[in-house]
Amino acid sequence: MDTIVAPITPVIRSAVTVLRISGSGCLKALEYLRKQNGKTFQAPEPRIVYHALFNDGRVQDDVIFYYFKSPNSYTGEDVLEISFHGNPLIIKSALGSFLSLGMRFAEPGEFTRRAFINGKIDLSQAEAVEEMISAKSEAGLFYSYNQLKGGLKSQIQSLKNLYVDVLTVVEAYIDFPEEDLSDRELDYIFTKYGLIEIELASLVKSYSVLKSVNDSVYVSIAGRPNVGKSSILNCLLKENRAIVSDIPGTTRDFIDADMTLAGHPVKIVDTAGIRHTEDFVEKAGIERSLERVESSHIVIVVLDLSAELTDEDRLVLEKTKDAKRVIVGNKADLKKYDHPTDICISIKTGENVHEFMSILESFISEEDSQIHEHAIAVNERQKNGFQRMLASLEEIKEMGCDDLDSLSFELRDSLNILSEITGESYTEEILSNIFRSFCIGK
Amino acid sequence: MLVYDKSYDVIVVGAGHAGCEAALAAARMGALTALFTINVDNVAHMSCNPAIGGLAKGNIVKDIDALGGEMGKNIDETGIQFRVLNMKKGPAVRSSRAQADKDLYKLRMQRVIMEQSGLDLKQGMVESLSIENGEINGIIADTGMLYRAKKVVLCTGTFLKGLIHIGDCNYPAGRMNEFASVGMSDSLTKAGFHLERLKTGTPARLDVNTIDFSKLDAQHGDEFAKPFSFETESISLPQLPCYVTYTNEKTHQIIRDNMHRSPLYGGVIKGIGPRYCPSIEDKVKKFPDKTRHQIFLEPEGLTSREYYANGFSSSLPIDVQIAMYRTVEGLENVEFVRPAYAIEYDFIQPTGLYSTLETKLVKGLYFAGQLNGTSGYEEAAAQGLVAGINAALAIGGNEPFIVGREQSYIGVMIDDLVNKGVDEPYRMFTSRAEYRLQLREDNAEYRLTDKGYELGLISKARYERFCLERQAKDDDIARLKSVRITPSVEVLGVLAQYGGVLRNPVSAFELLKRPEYDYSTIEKLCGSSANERVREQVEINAKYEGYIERQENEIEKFRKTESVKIPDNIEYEGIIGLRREYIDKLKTIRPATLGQAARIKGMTPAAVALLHVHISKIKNSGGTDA
Repeated sequence: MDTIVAPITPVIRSAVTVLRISGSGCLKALEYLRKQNGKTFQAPEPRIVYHALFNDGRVQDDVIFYYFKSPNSYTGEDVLEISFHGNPLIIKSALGSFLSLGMRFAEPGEFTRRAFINGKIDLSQAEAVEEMISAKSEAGLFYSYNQLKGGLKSQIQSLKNLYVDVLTVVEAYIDFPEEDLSDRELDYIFTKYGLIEIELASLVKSYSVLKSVNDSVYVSIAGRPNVGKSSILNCLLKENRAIVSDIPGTTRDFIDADMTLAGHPVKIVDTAGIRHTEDFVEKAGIERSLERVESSHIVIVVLDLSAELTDEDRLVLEKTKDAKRVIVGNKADLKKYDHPTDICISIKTGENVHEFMSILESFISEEDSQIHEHAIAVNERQKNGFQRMLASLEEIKEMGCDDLDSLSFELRDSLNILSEITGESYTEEILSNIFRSFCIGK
Repeated sequence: MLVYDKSYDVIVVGAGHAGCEAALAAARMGALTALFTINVDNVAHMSCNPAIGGLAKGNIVKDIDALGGEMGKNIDETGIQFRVLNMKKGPAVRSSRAQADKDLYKLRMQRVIMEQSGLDLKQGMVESLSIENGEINGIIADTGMLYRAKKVVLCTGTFLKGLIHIGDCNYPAGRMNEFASVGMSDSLTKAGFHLERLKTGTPARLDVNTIDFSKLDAQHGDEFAKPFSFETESISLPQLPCYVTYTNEKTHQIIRDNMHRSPLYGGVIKGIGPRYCPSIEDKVKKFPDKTRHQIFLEPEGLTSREYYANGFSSSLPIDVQIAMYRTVEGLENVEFVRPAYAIEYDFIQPTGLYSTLETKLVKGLYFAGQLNGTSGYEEAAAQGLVAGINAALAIGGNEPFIVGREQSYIGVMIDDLVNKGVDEPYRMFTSRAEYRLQLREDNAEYRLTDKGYELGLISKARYERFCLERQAKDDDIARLKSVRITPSVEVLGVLAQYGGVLRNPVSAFELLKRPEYDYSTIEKLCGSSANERVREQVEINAKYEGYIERQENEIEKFRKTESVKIPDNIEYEGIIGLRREYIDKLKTIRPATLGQAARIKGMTPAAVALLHVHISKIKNSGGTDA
C-alpha cells in the first residue's frame, strides 16, 4: 500500500490540527522534523510523544508527534501523527511538503478502509464503512471532479483535450509508420505546447484564487431597507474589532468587512436594501446584492419586529429559502408583530445579542471546517498534479521527433494525472481521434 | 452414430493461424491432439495480405516465439523482405514486419504440423459440437463421425456463415471459393451462444506481367534482415521489394459515381468493418479532401505471379473495380487474377470468455482468433497459443496460464477482449498498452521465456542460452556502473568523434545514457565481450533507466490490484450499496481479480472500492461468502 496523509481534525483556526500519515513510508515525514538541538530523529520509539520543530522551508511550527508501529495502529499500518498548531496556512504547507515526498492525499474514508482491510475493525464497523463509501459514490463525492466549480471543470476539460490532440498525432505516427501522414501534422504538435503551458499556469493560478476564496466564510446580511442591517453589522464589528476593507458610502452597493469570529476568518457583506423598484440604477444594485447573497455561505436575514411583514420582506425570505440562514427579528424592544424568526433581538438594548452571536459562531464553525476539508483535499492534490505536469512539459519541449516513445510516455503520464481528476480514460478516445483525423488503412 | 476409436485430449477446429498454434502447443505439452481443417492444402493460409508483423503485431510474433510458438520461425524461413519499422522513433515503438512467400509459408507450417508427434491433421468439415451437462466431450464431422475429446478449441476464422460480397453479387463462402460452415453456427446457437456479424475485406490480386514497375518507386527491406525468432540465426531466402503507387482524382471520381452500387452503402452488408482497414470507397467518402491514397504492391511469393494491392480493398462490383484500378499509375493495363471482395461472418462477443479463452457457457470449450472478433494473423496466432496451452493445462488440472497486461501485448489483447468486448474487428495497437516501454520486441524473452520453459514449450538448449545472456547483461551493467571514465586526452579524443565532451569523471553507464553515444562508444573506452543482443539490452537499459523505473512503479501498483483475487463463490448481491448495473456487469464478466473488475467497461472507482471491502470481509471471516 502507498503512504497516505490527511488531516484528521477540521482544518480551521484552532488550538491544534492533527495530520495522520499511514503506510510504510510514513517516517519519511521526519525529514522536516528536528529535535530542539537541531538533530534529526533516527528511529522514534512507538507510542512515545516527541516534541519537535517542524520546518519545511516555508513554514515553521512547534509540534508534537507520535509513532505507531504496524500492526498496532488505527489502520494496522505504520502510522505517524503530527499535532500542529491550528493554522490552515501551516497545514497546507506541511501537506504540500509531505505530498512531495511521494505520499498521496487520503481519499475520503481511506484510513477506515485500510483499518478494515487490515482486520483492525469488525464486521459491523465495516458495514458502516461500506455505507459511507456508497453514500459518497451516490452523491458523486468520491472523486470530487463533479464538485468543481464550472469554470475550473471546463478548464481541465480543455487542457485534457489539448493533451489528447497532441497524443493523437504522436500515437498515429507511432502506430501507423507506413501511412501517408504528412510531416506538417507532426510540426503541429509543437505549436500546442505553448497553449498547454498557458492553461496549466492558469490552473495553478486559479488554485490559489480558489484557495483565498475558500479561506474565509462569507456571511451576508440581507433585508429590506431600514430593518437595522447596518446596526447589526456595526454591532458585529464592535464586538470583534474588525478591519473594514470598504469605506461605507452612499454609492456602494455593499460593504465588505474582514473579521475573525471565534477564531474563524469571516468576510461579512452588508448588502443594499432589497426592495421593489423601477429605478434602473438601484435595480442593478439590488441584482448584485442578490448575487452576493446567493454566493454566501451563510445569510443573516433581518426582519423588523415593529412593522408588518411587507412584500419586500417576503421577497428576501423567498430568495434565501435554500440558503443556510439565520432569520433575525430586530427591534425586539418595539415588538408589535410575531414574524417567523430564529431569534428576536434588540441591537439598541443589547437584548439577546450574545445568543445571536453564539448561533452565528456555531454556523460559521460548521461551515469553516467543511470548506477547508474540501478545499485542501481537492486542491492540494490537483495543484500537485498540475505542477508535475508543468515539470513534465519542460521535458517534453526538449524532445524531438526522434523520441516518440519517451514523448508519448511523458504525455501519457500527464494525461493520467488528469484522468485521476476526471475519472475518465482516454485510450479509446485517442484511437477514435486517429481514425477520424487520419486516413489510416492499408 | 459412428464413433472414432481414438479419444483425443484436445481437438482443434480450423487450421488457420490460431488453430496451428493451438494444436502445436497442446501436442508439444503432451496432449494427444487432432487438428481439423476443411482443406489440408490450406493450413496456415494467408487469406489477406502476404505479410507478418507490423506495429504491435511484430511484438506479438516475438512474444509468441518467446513462449515457444511457431509463427516467428515460420516467417523467418519463408520471408522475402524484412524491415524494422519506426527505427528512428525509439526502441519502445520499434516493430518488425516481413513479406512472406505465401505458398512456402503454408507448406512449412503444414510440414511442422505433420511432423509433430502426438498431433493428427485431418481434413473434414466439423458440423457440430458434442456437449453433455454443460461440458464439451467431442465434435461431429460432416462424415457423421463423432470424435471424442476432453477439450475443444474452436478457431473457425471467417468461415461461420461466411458471406462474400462483390458488388450486388454475394454468395456463402469461408474464403474465396472455399466452403462456409453453416452447421457450426447453428450448433453454437443451440448451445446458447449469441452470434453477431462482422465484416472485413481484401483487395484484388494482380497479374505481375500487367504491372508497369518502371513507373513506380521500389521499397526494399532492411539491408541486414533481422529475424523474428530468437532461435533463427539468419534469413536465407532471396529478398524482394514492394512498390508504392497512389490513387488519384480519376480513381476517386469513378468511386463516387458508383457509390450507390456498393453493398456497404446500399445497406446489404450488415456486419461492422474495421476503422483502421477501410475499403477504398470508405476512404474516399470519409476523407473527401485527400487527393490521393497510398497503395502498396506486395509480391505474394518468389514464384507466384500475383501481386497484392495493399490499401485497395473494395466491395464494389467487378466492372467498377477494374476501371478504378486501371486509373492508377503503373496499373493502366492491369489484369485481375482475383477480384477484391468483402466478407461477413459470425463471431461471438469475447466477454463470454475467461482470460484462458475458455467459454463461460461450455466447460472445456475454447475460442480463438476471428471467432472472438479480432483481426490479423498475429492476433489470431497469439490467442491460439493461449487457448492451446490452457486446454492442455486444464487436462492435468494445472493452474491456468494467464498473460498480464504488463507482460505482453497478448495480455493486453485478451484482457481487452474479455472485459470490454468488441464493436469492430479488434486489432492490436501499441497505444492500447499502458506499459509500452516494457513491451518491447527486444526484451520478449526477458518477459516470457521463463514461462515458456516452465510450460515445456521452450527447449532446454534455448533456455540455457537465454539464461546465460541474461546473466551477461546483468554482469555488463554492473561492470559499466563500476568503471570510471575520466576526461583524459584519449577519452576526450574518442568522445569528440561523437561530438561529445566530458568535464568530470563519470561511470561508463552514466556516459552511455547520454544521447550522443551508443554502446560502441563505450566499447572504445572500456572494451566489451558482450554479444549483439546483450549490447542492445545494456544500451536500452542505460538510456531508458529513468523511464523504466517510473514504469515499473506503475506496474507495481497495477500488480497490487491484480493480486486481490475474487473468490469464485462470491455473491455480488450481498454487497451493501452496490448498484444493480454493477452487479450485472460483475456477474456477466466474472472477473478473477480486483484489477480486472476495475477494467470492466463502465465500472466506477466507488463500485470497485465496495467490492474490495467486501472481498476483505470474506477473507477476514474465513473465506466463505455469507
